Amino acid sequence: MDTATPQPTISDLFARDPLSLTKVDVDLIIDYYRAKRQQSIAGVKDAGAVKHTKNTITLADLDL
Amino acid sequence: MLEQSSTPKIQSPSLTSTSNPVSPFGDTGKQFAWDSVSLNWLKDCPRKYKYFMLDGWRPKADSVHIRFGLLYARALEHYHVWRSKGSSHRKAMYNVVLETLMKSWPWDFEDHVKSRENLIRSIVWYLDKFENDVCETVILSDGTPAVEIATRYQLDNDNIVIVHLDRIVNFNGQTYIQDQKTTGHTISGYYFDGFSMDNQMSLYSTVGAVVYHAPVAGVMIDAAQIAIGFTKHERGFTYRTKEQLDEWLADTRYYIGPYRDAAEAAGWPQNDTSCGKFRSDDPFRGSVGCPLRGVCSKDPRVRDKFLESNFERRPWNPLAERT
Repeated sequence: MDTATPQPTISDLFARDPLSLTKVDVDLIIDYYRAKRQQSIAGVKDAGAVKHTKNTITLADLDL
Repeated sequence: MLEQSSTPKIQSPSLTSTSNPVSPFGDTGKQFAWDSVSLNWLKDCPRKYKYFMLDGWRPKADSVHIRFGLLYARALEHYHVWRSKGSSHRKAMYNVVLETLMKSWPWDFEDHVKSRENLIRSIVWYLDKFENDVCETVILSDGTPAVEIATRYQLDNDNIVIVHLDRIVNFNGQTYIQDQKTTGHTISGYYFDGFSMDNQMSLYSTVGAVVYHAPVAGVMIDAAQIAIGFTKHERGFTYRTKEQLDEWLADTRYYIGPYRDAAEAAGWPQNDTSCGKFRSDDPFRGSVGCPLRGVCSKDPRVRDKFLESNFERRPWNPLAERT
């Protein structure tokens, strides 16, 4: 039986009092948006006129 | 599984502040301490200046834009302070993201674009885009980085102007004032051209040279278009010649002197040619013109009721410390 703590979503982290955030949480937020930016850049390059991509990245996608 | 380590402490770089609770009004009630905001109000419309500056009214609804813009600019300023103190890009980014998360809590606004999440996204995206920026923060003669500078300039015998500069930078061998802007509109050459006739940018150009004890080439505007799904950053410039700055200074002395006195004597008349500034023909675009349109367009006998319904007393003080 898997007892691991579920990965929080980005909304979970923003919904929490920042005083309860850990360093890991803050790093997750930063890496989430860095990945979103890379996704956006890749989307623009691939699609030409496309300005941004869908909100498809989750924290679980990050290679941390 | 996430490691639950101890809560990190908020870290703010030490900066020289201008904590000063003195009233911007002298013994006679006349304003003597000005800034670009109060100058804008007076130049726009005497009635607007009365409501906003003299009476202290502010629209309840505009606080999200002010808070978003202020936190965004502060984060970028503090990032450059951390970098100038030797912090790595990642460490400096971490510090300002954590600081902004703390300062933006709670976020009691319904705006879907100027949200707390989009604030953090905009900061991270800007810092990553300009990680290897060729701009370098100027180091002042006392060894401190030229970031978040509050300074005063004597306009004439009776008046001073307070200026808050985001950052002074060296760029391609020249010195620039750097200013951060956020907007909901598309950023283009047309957007930047709007700053060629702009009170705030003229003030920055005038006073920046005094702060730095040398001419500045112009103002570098780092603009962020905030959208629901992305933030787009672009850099533009605006320039003034010495003759243009002299003209602006002479005009400003007129506005805060004879013009202001005449407006007061006339009972702070409305300038109805300013009511439609920034008013879109599309009522759903959110650009509705002067926020006081809904008050000034009413019968004078009921204006106070409309003020009390949609505005709140938040007096503006150019001398107050910006937090």
